[in-house]
Amino acid sequence: MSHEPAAPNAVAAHAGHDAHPHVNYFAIFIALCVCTGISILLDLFESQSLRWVIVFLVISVAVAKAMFVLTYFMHLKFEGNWKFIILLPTTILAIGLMVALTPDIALHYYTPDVPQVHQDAPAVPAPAADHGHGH
Amino acid sequence: MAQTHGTTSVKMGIPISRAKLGMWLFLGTEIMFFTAFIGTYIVCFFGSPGWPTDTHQTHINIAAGGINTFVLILSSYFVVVAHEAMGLRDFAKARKFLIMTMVLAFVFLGIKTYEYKGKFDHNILPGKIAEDDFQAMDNVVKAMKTAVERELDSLIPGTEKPYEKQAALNQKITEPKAGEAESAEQRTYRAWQGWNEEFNRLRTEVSGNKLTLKDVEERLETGYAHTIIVDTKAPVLKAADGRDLTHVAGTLEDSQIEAYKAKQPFTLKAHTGETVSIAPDNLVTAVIPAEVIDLGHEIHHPFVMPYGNLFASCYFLMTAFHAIHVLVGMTMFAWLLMQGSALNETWSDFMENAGLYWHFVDLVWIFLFPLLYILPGLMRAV
Repeated sequence: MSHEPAAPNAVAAHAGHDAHPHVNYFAIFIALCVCTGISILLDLFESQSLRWVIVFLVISVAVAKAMFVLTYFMHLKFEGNWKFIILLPTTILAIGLMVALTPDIALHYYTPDVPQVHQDAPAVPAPAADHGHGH
Repeated sequence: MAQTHGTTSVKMGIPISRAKLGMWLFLGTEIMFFTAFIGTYIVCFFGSPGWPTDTHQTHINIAAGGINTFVLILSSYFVVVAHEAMGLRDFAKARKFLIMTMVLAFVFLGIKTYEYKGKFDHNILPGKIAEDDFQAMDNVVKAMKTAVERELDSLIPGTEKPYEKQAALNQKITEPKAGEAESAEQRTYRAWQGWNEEFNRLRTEVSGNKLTLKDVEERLETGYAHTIIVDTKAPVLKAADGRDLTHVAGTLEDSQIEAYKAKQPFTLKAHTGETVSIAPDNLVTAVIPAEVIDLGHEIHHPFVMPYGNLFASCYFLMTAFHAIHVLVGMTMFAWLLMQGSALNETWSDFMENAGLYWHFVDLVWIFLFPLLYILPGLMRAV
Protein backbone atom coordinates (compact mmCIF):
# COMPACT_ATOMS: atom_id res chain seq x y z
CA MET A 1 0.00 0.00 0.00
CA SER A 2 2.97 2.35 -0.41
CA HIS A 3 2.34 5.49 -2.30
CA GLU A 4 4.30 6.30 -5.41
CA PRO A 5 7.38 8.34 -4.61
CA ALA A 6 6.25 10.89 -7.14
CA ALA A 7 7.17 13.88 -5.05
CA PRO A 8 9.22 16.09 -7.30
CA ASN A 9 12.47 16.89 -5.59
CA ALA A 10 12.42 20.33 -7.10
CA VAL A 11 9.37 21.17 -5.05
CA ALA A 12 10.66 19.50 -1.92
CA ALA A 13 13.91 21.35 -2.15
CA HIS A 14 12.09 24.60 -1.50
CA ALA A 15 10.97 23.19 1.82
CA GLY A 16 8.60 24.93 4.21
CA HIS A 17 4.84 25.08 4.06
CA ASP A 18 4.72 27.85 1.51
CA ALA A 19 6.07 25.62 -1.21
CA HIS A 20 2.91 23.53 -1.58
CA PRO A 21 1.55 23.75 -5.06
CA HIS A 22 -2.11 24.47 -5.36
CA VAL A 23 -4.32 21.42 -4.90
CA ASN A 24 -8.00 21.30 -5.74
CA TYR A 25 -8.97 20.38 -2.18
CA PHE A 26 -12.65 20.46 -2.98
CA ALA A 27 -12.17 17.68 -5.54
CA ILE A 28 -10.42 15.60 -2.87
CA PHE A 29 -13.31 16.27 -0.52
CA ILE A 30 -15.79 15.08 -3.16
CA ALA A 31 -13.68 11.97 -3.78
CA LEU A 32 -13.74 11.20 -0.04
CA CYS A 33 -17.52 11.61 0.06
CA VAL A 34 -17.92 9.31 -2.94
CA CYS A 35 -15.72 6.71 -1.21
CA THR A 36 -17.85 6.93 1.94
CA GLY A 37 -20.96 6.47 -0.20
CA ILE A 38 -19.42 3.39 -1.83
CA SER A 39 -18.69 1.76 1.55
CA ILE A 40 -22.27 2.38 2.69
CA LEU A 41 -23.61 0.94 -0.58
CA LEU A 42 -21.37 -2.12 -0.17
CA ASP A 43 -22.95 -2.64 3.25
CA LEU A 44 -26.32 -3.13 1.54
CA PHE A 45 -25.05 -6.14 -0.43
CA GLU A 46 -26.19 -9.37 1.14
CA SER A 47 -24.27 -11.98 -0.76
CA GLN A 48 -23.00 -15.03 1.07
CA SER A 49 -20.63 -16.14 -1.68
CA LEU A 50 -19.16 -12.72 -2.37
CA ARG A 51 -18.88 -11.75 1.28
CA TRP A 52 -15.10 -11.84 1.48
CA VAL A 53 -14.83 -9.93 -1.80
CA ILE A 54 -17.05 -7.22 -0.33
CA VAL A 55 -15.04 -7.16 2.90
CA PHE A 56 -11.90 -6.73 0.80
CA LEU A 57 -13.55 -3.94 -1.21
CA VAL A 58 -14.70 -2.11 1.94
CA ILE A 59 -11.18 -2.23 3.40
CA SER A 60 -9.74 -1.15 0.02
CA VAL A 61 -12.06 1.86 -0.06
CA ALA A 62 -10.93 2.77 3.46
CA VAL A 63 -7.27 2.50 2.38
CA ALA A 64 -8.02 4.64 -0.68
CA LYS A 65 -9.62 7.29 1.53
CA ALA A 66 -6.62 7.16 3.87
CA MET A 67 -4.28 7.67 0.91
CA PHE A 68 -6.30 10.66 -0.29
CA VAL A 69 -6.04 12.27 3.15
CA LEU A 70 -2.34 11.45 3.58
CA THR A 71 -1.34 12.46 0.06
CA TYR A 72 -3.26 15.72 -0.36
CA PHE A 73 -4.68 16.94 2.96
CA MET A 74 -1.48 16.07 4.83
CA HIS A 75 0.64 17.18 1.87
CA LEU A 76 2.77 14.05 1.81
CA LYS A 77 2.82 14.21 -2.00
CA PHE A 78 4.77 17.44 -1.78
CA GLU A 79 7.12 16.52 1.03
CA GLY A 80 10.68 15.40 0.64
CA ASN A 81 11.96 11.88 1.15
CA TRP A 82 12.13 12.42 4.90
CA LYS A 83 8.53 11.22 4.96
CA PHE A 84 9.77 7.69 4.27
CA ILE A 85 12.34 7.88 7.04
CA ILE A 86 9.65 8.82 9.53
CA LEU A 87 6.73 6.76 8.29
CA LEU A 88 8.45 3.55 7.18
CA PRO A 89 9.51 2.30 10.64
CA THR A 90 6.10 2.97 12.15
CA THR A 91 4.36 1.35 9.18
CA ILE A 92 6.58 -1.72 9.41
CA LEU A 93 5.93 -2.02 13.15
CA ALA A 94 2.19 -1.53 12.67
CA ILE A 95 2.00 -4.15 9.93
CA GLY A 96 4.30 -6.39 12.00
CA LEU A 97 1.88 -6.18 14.90
CA MET A 98 -1.01 -7.22 12.67
CA VAL A 99 1.02 -10.11 11.23
CA ALA A 100 2.03 -11.19 14.73
CA LEU A 101 -1.60 -11.19 15.83
CA THR A 102 -2.87 -13.10 12.80
CA PRO A 103 -2.11 -16.60 14.21
CA ASP A 104 -4.68 -15.86 16.91
CA ILE A 105 -7.29 -15.84 14.16
CA ALA A 106 -5.94 -18.40 11.75
CA LEU A 107 -3.95 -20.89 13.82
CA HIS A 108 -5.80 -21.83 16.95
CA TYR A 109 -3.58 -24.12 19.03
CA TYR A 110 -6.62 -24.60 21.26
CA THR A 111 -10.05 -25.90 20.39
CA PRO A 112 -12.04 -22.88 19.27
CA ASP A 113 -15.16 -24.14 21.06
CA VAL A 114 -17.13 -21.40 22.70
CA PRO A 115 -19.36 -22.57 25.51
CA GLN A 116 -21.56 -19.48 25.21
CA VAL A 117 -22.44 -20.14 21.59
CA HIS A 118 -25.51 -22.33 21.23
CA GLN A 119 -24.48 -24.58 18.40
CA ASP A 120 -27.57 -26.79 18.11
CA ALA A 121 -29.81 -26.43 21.12
CA PRO A 122 -31.77 -23.19 21.19
CA ALA A 123 -31.64 -22.84 24.93
CA VAL A 124 -29.06 -23.85 27.48
CA PRO A 125 -31.25 -24.97 30.41
CA ALA A 126 -32.40 -28.51 29.88
CA PRO A 127 -36.11 -29.30 30.24
CA ALA A 128 -35.19 -31.14 33.44
CA ALA A 129 -33.99 -27.90 34.97
CA ASP A 130 -36.58 -28.30 37.73
CA HIS A 131 -34.36 -30.49 39.83
CA GLY A 132 -31.35 -28.36 39.20
CA HIS A 133 -28.51 -28.00 41.61
CA GLY A 134 -29.95 -24.81 43.07
CA HIS A 135 -30.06 -23.96 46.73
CA MET B 1 15.93 41.26 15.61
CA ALA B 2 18.81 39.39 14.08
CA GLN B 3 18.49 36.59 16.61
CA THR B 4 14.87 35.84 15.73
CA HIS B 5 15.95 34.74 12.27
CA GLY B 6 17.09 31.46 13.72
CA THR B 7 13.63 30.32 14.88
CA THR B 8 12.51 28.92 11.56
CA SER B 9 15.92 27.79 10.33
CA VAL B 10 16.58 24.13 9.62
CA LYS B 11 19.24 22.47 11.68
CA MET B 12 18.60 18.75 11.55
CA GLY B 13 19.34 18.01 7.95
CA ILE B 14 15.68 17.55 7.19
CA PRO B 15 14.22 20.46 5.25
CA ILE B 16 11.18 21.02 7.47
CA SER B 17 10.54 22.98 10.63
CA ARG B 18 11.30 21.29 13.92
CA ALA B 19 7.70 21.67 14.95
CA LYS B 20 6.49 19.79 11.90
CA LEU B 21 9.14 17.10 12.35
CA GLY B 22 8.02 16.71 15.94
CA MET B 23 4.37 16.44 14.89
CA TRP B 24 5.15 13.81 12.27
CA LEU B 25 7.22 11.75 14.72
CA PHE B 26 4.34 12.01 17.19
CA LEU B 27 1.86 10.94 14.52
CA GLY B 28 4.15 7.97 13.86
CA THR B 29 3.69 6.84 17.45
CA GLU B 30 -0.04 7.56 17.17
CA ILE B 31 -0.29 5.20 14.19
CA MET B 32 1.16 2.40 16.33
CA PHE B 33 -1.09 3.37 19.27
CA PHE B 34 -4.27 2.97 17.23
CA THR B 35 -2.98 -0.04 15.31
CA ALA B 36 -2.74 -1.90 18.62
CA PHE B 37 -6.43 -1.28 19.36
CA ILE B 38 -7.65 -1.85 15.83
CA GLY B 39 -5.50 -4.98 15.49
CA THR B 40 -6.87 -6.36 18.75
CA TYR B 41 -10.40 -5.67 17.59
CA ILE B 42 -9.81 -7.42 14.25
CA VAL B 43 -8.36 -10.47 16.03
CA CYS B 44 -11.32 -10.58 18.42
CA PHE B 45 -13.79 -10.08 15.56
CA PHE B 46 -12.52 -12.74 13.17
CA GLY B 47 -11.07 -15.08 15.80
CA SER B 48 -14.23 -15.47 17.88
CA PRO B 49 -17.00 -17.67 16.52
CA GLY B 50 -20.26 -15.94 17.43
CA TRP B 51 -18.80 -12.43 17.73
CA PRO B 52 -21.74 -9.98 17.94
CA THR B 53 -22.62 -8.78 14.44
CA ASP B 54 -26.31 -7.95 14.91
CA THR B 55 -26.22 -4.16 14.73
CA HIS B 56 -29.72 -3.92 16.24
CA GLN B 57 -28.54 -5.81 19.29
CA THR B 58 -25.23 -3.95 19.63
CA HIS B 59 -26.98 -0.64 18.92
CA ILE B 60 -24.50 0.22 16.20
CA ASN B 61 -26.18 2.89 14.12
CA ILE B 62 -24.78 2.91 10.57
CA ALA B 63 -26.56 6.17 9.72
CA ALA B 64 -24.98 7.92 12.72
CA GLY B 65 -21.55 6.51 11.83
CA GLY B 66 -21.96 7.52 8.19
CA ILE B 67 -22.99 11.06 9.08
CA ASN B 68 -20.03 11.33 11.45
CA THR B 69 -17.71 10.15 8.68
CA PHE B 70 -19.04 12.90 6.44
CA VAL B 71 -18.75 15.46 9.26
CA LEU B 72 -15.07 14.62 9.84
CA ILE B 73 -14.24 14.64 6.13
CA LEU B 74 -15.91 18.02 5.73
CA SER B 75 -14.08 19.37 8.77
CA SER B 76 -10.77 18.12 7.34
CA TYR B 77 -11.57 19.99 4.14
CA PHE B 78 -12.32 23.16 6.12
CA VAL B 79 -9.01 22.84 7.96
CA VAL B 80 -7.15 22.57 4.68
CA VAL B 81 -8.94 25.66 3.38
CA ALA B 82 -8.15 27.52 6.60
CA HIS B 83 -4.48 26.60 6.32
CA GLU B 84 -4.40 27.65 2.69
CA ALA B 85 -6.05 30.96 3.58
CA MET B 86 -3.36 31.58 6.19
CA GLY B 87 -0.69 30.95 3.58
CA LEU B 88 -2.37 33.66 1.49
CA ARG B 89 -2.51 35.95 4.57
CA ASP B 90 -6.30 35.96 4.48
CA PHE B 91 -6.63 35.51 8.24
CA ALA B 92 -10.31 36.46 8.38
CA LYS B 93 -11.11 33.59 6.02
CA ALA B 94 -8.89 31.27 8.05
CA ARG B 95 -10.80 32.16 11.22
CA LYS B 96 -14.13 31.63 9.50
CA PHE B 97 -13.18 28.12 8.39
CA LEU B 98 -11.68 27.31 11.78
CA ILE B 99 -14.98 28.27 13.43
CA MET B 100 -16.85 26.00 11.01
CA THR B 101 -14.39 23.22 11.84
CA MET B 102 -15.11 23.71 15.53
CA VAL B 103 -18.85 23.54 14.87
CA LEU B 104 -18.41 20.28 12.96
CA ALA B 105 -16.26 18.88 15.78
CA PHE B 106 -19.10 19.61 18.19
CA VAL B 107 -21.56 17.94 15.81
CA PHE B 108 -19.30 14.87 15.71
CA LEU B 109 -19.15 14.70 19.52
CA GLY B 110 -22.91 15.28 19.73
CA ILE B 111 -23.65 12.33 17.45
CA LYS B 112 -21.10 10.26 19.37
CA THR B 113 -22.87 11.17 22.62
CA TYR B 114 -26.19 10.11 21.10
CA GLU B 115 -24.64 6.77 20.13
CA TYR B 116 -23.09 6.31 23.58
CA LYS B 117 -26.44 7.09 25.19
CA GLY B 118 -28.06 4.31 23.17
CA LYS B 119 -25.44 1.89 24.48
CA PHE B 120 -25.75 3.08 28.09
CA ASP B 121 -29.56 2.92 27.92
CA HIS B 122 -29.46 -0.67 26.69
CA ASN B 123 -26.58 -1.79 28.89
CA ILE B 124 -24.22 -2.44 25.98
CA LEU B 125 -21.39 -1.91 28.44
CA PRO B 126 -18.34 -3.97 29.40
CA GLY B 127 -19.23 -6.32 32.22
CA LYS B 128 -23.00 -5.78 31.91
CA ILE B 129 -23.88 -8.01 28.96
CA ALA B 130 -25.31 -11.50 29.43
CA GLU B 131 -23.29 -14.09 27.55
CA ASP B 132 -25.54 -17.04 28.44
CA ASP B 133 -29.16 -17.67 29.44
CA PHE B 134 -28.48 -17.67 33.18
CA GLN B 135 -26.74 -14.31 33.05
CA ALA B 136 -29.64 -12.95 30.99
CA MET B 137 -32.14 -14.11 33.63
CA ASP B 138 -29.96 -12.61 36.38
CA ASN B 139 -30.01 -9.31 34.49
CA VAL B 140 -33.83 -9.35 34.49
CA VAL B 141 -33.88 -9.99 38.25
CA LYS B 142 -31.39 -7.16 38.82
CA ALA B 143 -33.39 -4.76 36.62
CA MET B 144 -36.57 -5.65 38.44
CA LYS B 145 -34.91 -5.20 41.82
CA THR B 146 -33.72 -1.76 40.75
CA ALA B 147 -37.18 -0.78 39.53
CA VAL B 148 -38.95 -2.08 42.64
CA GLU B 149 -36.48 -0.38 44.99
CA ARG B 150 -36.66 2.88 43.11
CA GLU B 151 -40.44 2.79 43.41
CA LEU B 152 -40.08 2.10 47.13
CA ASP B 153 -37.76 5.10 47.42
CA SER B 154 -40.35 7.35 45.81
CA LEU B 155 -43.10 6.02 48.11
CA ILE B 156 -41.02 6.16 51.31
CA PRO B 157 -38.40 8.87 50.88
CA GLY B 158 -35.41 8.84 53.17
CA THR B 159 -32.04 7.23 53.67
CA GLU B 160 -33.22 4.08 55.44
CA LYS B 161 -32.27 0.67 54.09
CA PRO B 162 -34.74 -1.00 51.71
CA TYR B 163 -35.90 -3.54 54.30
CA GLU B 164 -36.52 -0.75 56.81
CA LYS B 165 -38.55 1.16 54.25
CA GLN B 166 -40.49 -1.97 53.43
CA ALA B 167 -41.32 -2.47 57.11
CA ALA B 168 -42.48 1.14 57.30
CA LEU B 169 -44.61 0.61 54.21
CA ASN B 170 -46.17 -2.57 55.65
CA GLN B 171 -47.00 -0.71 58.83
CA LYS B 172 -48.78 2.02 56.91
CA ILE B 173 -50.97 -0.56 55.21
CA THR B 174 -52.05 -2.31 58.43
CA GLU B 175 -53.02 0.97 60.02
CA PRO B 176 -56.44 1.78 58.43
CA LYS B 177 -59.19 2.55 60.87
CA ALA B 178 -61.92 -0.07 61.02
CA GLY B 179 -64.84 0.51 58.71
CA GLU B 180 -63.04 3.13 56.67
CA ALA B 181 -62.09 2.74 53.07
CA GLU B 182 -58.43 2.51 52.21
CA SER B 183 -56.83 5.79 51.36
CA ALA B 184 -55.32 6.37 47.93
CA GLU B 185 -51.83 6.18 49.41
CA GLN B 186 -52.55 2.83 51.00
CA ARG B 187 -53.78 1.43 47.71
CA THR B 188 -50.54 2.59 46.13
CA TYR B 189 -48.57 0.88 48.89
CA ARG B 190 -50.48 -2.32 48.27
CA ALA B 191 -49.77 -2.02 44.57
CA TRP B 192 -46.08 -1.82 45.41
CA GLN B 193 -46.41 -4.86 47.67
CA GLY B 194 -47.89 -6.76 44.75
CA TRP B 195 -44.88 -5.85 42.66
CA ASN B 196 -42.50 -6.82 45.39
CA GLU B 197 -44.20 -10.21 45.65
CA GLU B 198 -43.78 -10.71 41.92
CA PHE B 199 -40.13 -9.72 42.18
CA ASN B 200 -39.47 -12.12 45.07
CA ARG B 201 -41.21 -14.93 43.22
CA LEU B 202 -39.07 -14.31 40.13
CA ARG B 203 -35.86 -14.10 42.14
CA THR B 204 -36.58 -17.28 44.06
CA GLU B 205 -37.51 -19.22 40.96
CA VAL B 206 -34.53 -17.99 38.95
CA SER B 207 -32.03 -18.74 41.70
CA GLY B 208 -33.77 -22.07 42.27
CA ASN B 209 -33.07 -22.92 38.62
CA LYS B 210 -36.78 -23.41 38.00
CA LEU B 211 -37.12 -21.13 34.99
CA THR B 212 -35.70 -21.03 31.49
CA LEU B 213 -34.93 -17.78 29.73
CA LYS B 214 -38.04 -18.38 27.62
CA ASP B 215 -40.19 -18.56 30.77
CA VAL B 216 -38.74 -15.29 32.01
CA GLU B 217 -39.33 -13.67 28.62
CA GLU B 218 -42.94 -14.82 28.60
CA ARG B 219 -43.46 -13.57 32.11
CA LEU B 220 -42.02 -10.19 31.13
CA GLU B 221 -44.26 -9.98 28.09
CA THR B 222 -47.49 -11.13 29.64
CA GLY B 223 -47.16 -10.82 33.37
CA TYR B 224 -45.45 -7.54 33.98
CA ALA B 225 -46.34 -5.43 31.00
CA HIS B 226 -49.48 -3.28 31.21
CA THR B 227 -50.19 -4.44 34.71
CA ILE B 228 -53.07 -2.61 36.30
CA ILE B 229 -53.95 -2.18 39.89
CA VAL B 230 -57.40 -3.15 41.05
CA ASP B 231 -59.23 -1.61 43.98
CA THR B 232 -58.91 -3.84 47.00
CA LYS B 233 -62.58 -3.25 47.84
CA ALA B 234 -63.62 -5.02 44.67
CA PRO B 235 -64.15 -8.81 44.68
CA VAL B 236 -60.67 -10.08 45.31
CA LEU B 237 -58.96 -11.87 42.46
CA LYS B 238 -57.53 -15.15 43.58
CA ALA B 239 -55.35 -17.36 41.49
CA ALA B 240 -55.74 -21.13 41.51
CA ASP B 241 -52.78 -21.44 43.88
CA GLY B 242 -54.42 -18.98 46.27
CA ARG B 243 -52.11 -16.16 45.32
CA ASP B 244 -53.72 -12.75 45.59
CA LEU B 245 -54.01 -11.25 42.14
CA THR B 246 -55.60 -8.09 43.36
CA HIS B 247 -52.56 -6.01 42.63
CA VAL B 248 -51.16 -7.75 39.63
CA ALA B 249 -54.13 -8.43 37.47
CA GLY B 250 -52.83 -9.35 34.09
CA THR B 251 -52.18 -8.32 30.56
CA LEU B 252 -54.19 -5.70 28.78
CA GLU B 253 -54.94 -5.67 25.09
CA ASP B 254 -54.80 -2.33 23.33
CA SER B 255 -58.60 -2.14 23.31
CA GLN B 256 -58.65 -2.81 27.05
CA ILE B 257 -56.12 -0.07 27.67
CA GLU B 258 -58.39 2.28 25.76
CA ALA B 259 -61.33 1.20 27.88
CA TYR B 260 -59.23 1.58 31.00
CA LYS B 261 -58.26 5.10 30.03
CA ALA B 262 -61.90 5.93 29.22
CA LYS B 263 -62.97 4.39 32.55
CA GLN B 264 -65.28 1.91 30.86
CA PRO B 265 -65.90 -1.64 32.07
CA PHE B 266 -63.98 -4.43 30.37
CA THR B 267 -62.85 -7.98 30.96
CA LEU B 268 -59.30 -9.13 31.13
CA LYS B 269 -57.47 -12.39 31.31
CA ALA B 270 -55.24 -12.63 34.35
CA HIS B 271 -51.91 -14.27 33.70
CA THR B 272 -53.13 -17.30 35.53
CA GLY B 273 -55.66 -17.81 32.76
CA GLU B 274 -58.73 -16.58 34.64
CA THR B 275 -61.05 -14.12 32.99
CA VAL B 276 -61.89 -11.24 35.28
CA SER B 277 -64.41 -8.52 34.61
CA ILE B 278 -63.30 -5.12 35.71
CA ALA B 279 -65.74 -2.36 36.47
CA PRO B 280 -64.52 1.21 36.34
CA ASP B 281 -65.13 1.59 40.06
CA ASN B 282 -62.73 -1.23 40.77
CA LEU B 283 -59.87 0.58 39.12
CA VAL B 284 -57.61 2.80 41.07
CA THR B 285 -57.36 5.25 38.26
CA ALA B 286 -56.42 8.29 40.24
CA VAL B 287 -53.52 7.08 42.28
CA ILE B 288 -51.67 4.65 40.08
CA PRO B 289 -48.17 6.02 39.81
CA ALA B 290 -47.04 5.77 36.23
CA GLU B 291 -43.89 4.03 37.38
CA VAL B 292 -45.85 1.13 38.78
CA ILE B 293 -47.83 0.61 35.61
CA ASP B 294 -44.79 0.83 33.39
CA LEU B 295 -42.54 -1.32 35.52
CA GLY B 296 -42.68 -4.07 32.92
CA HIS B 297 -41.63 -1.65 30.20
CA GLU B 298 -38.59 -0.50 32.09
CA ILE B 299 -37.12 -3.94 32.17
CA HIS B 300 -35.37 -4.56 28.89
CA HIS B 301 -36.11 -7.64 26.93
CA PRO B 302 -33.37 -10.06 27.97
CA PHE B 303 -30.83 -10.98 25.33
CA VAL B 304 -27.80 -13.23 25.13
CA MET B 305 -24.76 -11.84 23.34
CA PRO B 306 -21.71 -14.11 23.32
CA TYR B 307 -18.51 -12.01 23.46
CA GLY B 308 -20.72 -8.97 24.04
CA ASN B 309 -18.54 -7.67 26.89
CA LEU B 310 -15.37 -8.00 24.83
CA PHE B 311 -17.14 -6.24 21.97
CA ALA B 312 -18.21 -3.40 24.25
CA SER B 313 -14.66 -3.07 25.62
CA CYS B 314 -13.20 -2.85 22.11
CA TYR B 315 -15.89 -0.42 20.97
CA PHE B 316 -15.48 1.99 23.85
CA LEU B 317 -11.67 1.74 23.88
CA MET B 318 -11.41 2.66 20.20
CA THR B 319 -14.16 5.26 19.96
CA ALA B 320 -13.38 6.93 23.29
CA PHE B 321 -9.68 7.29 22.50
CA HIS B 322 -10.70 8.69 19.13
CA ALA B 323 -13.08 11.13 20.84
CA ILE B 324 -10.27 12.22 23.18
CA HIS B 325 -8.19 12.98 20.10
CA VAL B 326 -11.08 15.03 18.72
CA LEU B 327 -11.09 17.04 21.95
CA VAL B 328 -7.34 17.63 21.73
CA GLY B 329 -7.71 18.80 18.13
CA MET B 330 -10.52 21.13 19.17
CA THR B 331 -8.27 22.57 21.89
CA MET B 332 -5.64 23.39 19.28
CA PHE B 333 -8.18 25.12 17.04
CA ALA B 334 -9.63 26.95 20.03
CA TRP B 335 -6.13 28.20 20.82
CA LEU B 336 -5.84 29.60 17.30
CA LEU B 337 -9.30 31.18 17.46
CA MET B 338 -8.51 32.76 20.84
CA GLN B 339 -5.87 34.87 19.09
CA GLY B 340 -8.77 36.69 17.47
CA SER B 341 -7.64 39.37 15.08
CA ALA B 342 -4.07 38.90 16.31
CA LEU B 343 -3.88 35.76 14.20
CA ASN B 344 -0.99 36.27 11.81
CA GLU B 345 1.65 34.43 9.84
CA THR B 346 3.63 33.54 12.99
CA TRP B 347 0.85 31.01 13.67
CA SER B 348 1.36 29.24 10.34
CA ASP B 349 3.42 26.41 11.83
CA PHE B 350 0.90 25.94 14.62
CA MET B 351 -1.92 25.93 12.09
CA GLU B 352 -0.14 23.39 9.92
CA ASN B 353 0.54 21.09 12.87
CA ALA B 354 -3.01 21.39 14.20
CA GLY B 355 -4.19 20.55 10.68
CA LEU B 356 -1.91 17.49 10.45
CA TYR B 357 -3.20 16.29 13.80
CA TRP B 358 -6.81 16.84 12.74
CA HIS B 359 -6.30 14.95 9.48
CA PHE B 360 -4.86 12.08 11.50
CA VAL B 361 -8.00 12.05 13.67
CA ASP B 362 -10.00 11.89 10.44
CA LEU B 363 -7.71 9.10 9.23
CA VAL B 364 -8.38 6.97 12.31
CA TRP B 365 -12.13 7.38 11.86
CA ILE B 366 -11.78 6.41 8.19
CA PHE B 367 -10.70 2.97 9.45
CA LEU B 368 -12.99 2.80 12.48
CA PHE B 369 -16.10 3.43 10.39
CA PRO B 370 -15.86 0.34 8.12
CA LEU B 371 -14.50 -1.86 10.92
CA LEU B 372 -17.16 -0.98 13.50
CA TYR B 373 -20.15 -0.11 11.33
CA ILE B 374 -19.87 -1.86 7.96
CA LEU B 375 -18.11 -5.18 8.64
CA PRO B 376 -20.55 -6.49 11.30
CA GLY B 377 -23.43 -6.21 8.82
CA LEU B 378 -21.41 -8.01 6.14
CA MET B 379 -20.31 -10.86 8.42
CA ARG B 380 -23.70 -11.26 10.05
CA ALA B 381 -24.74 -14.44 8.26
CA VAL B 382 -21.71 -16.43 9.50
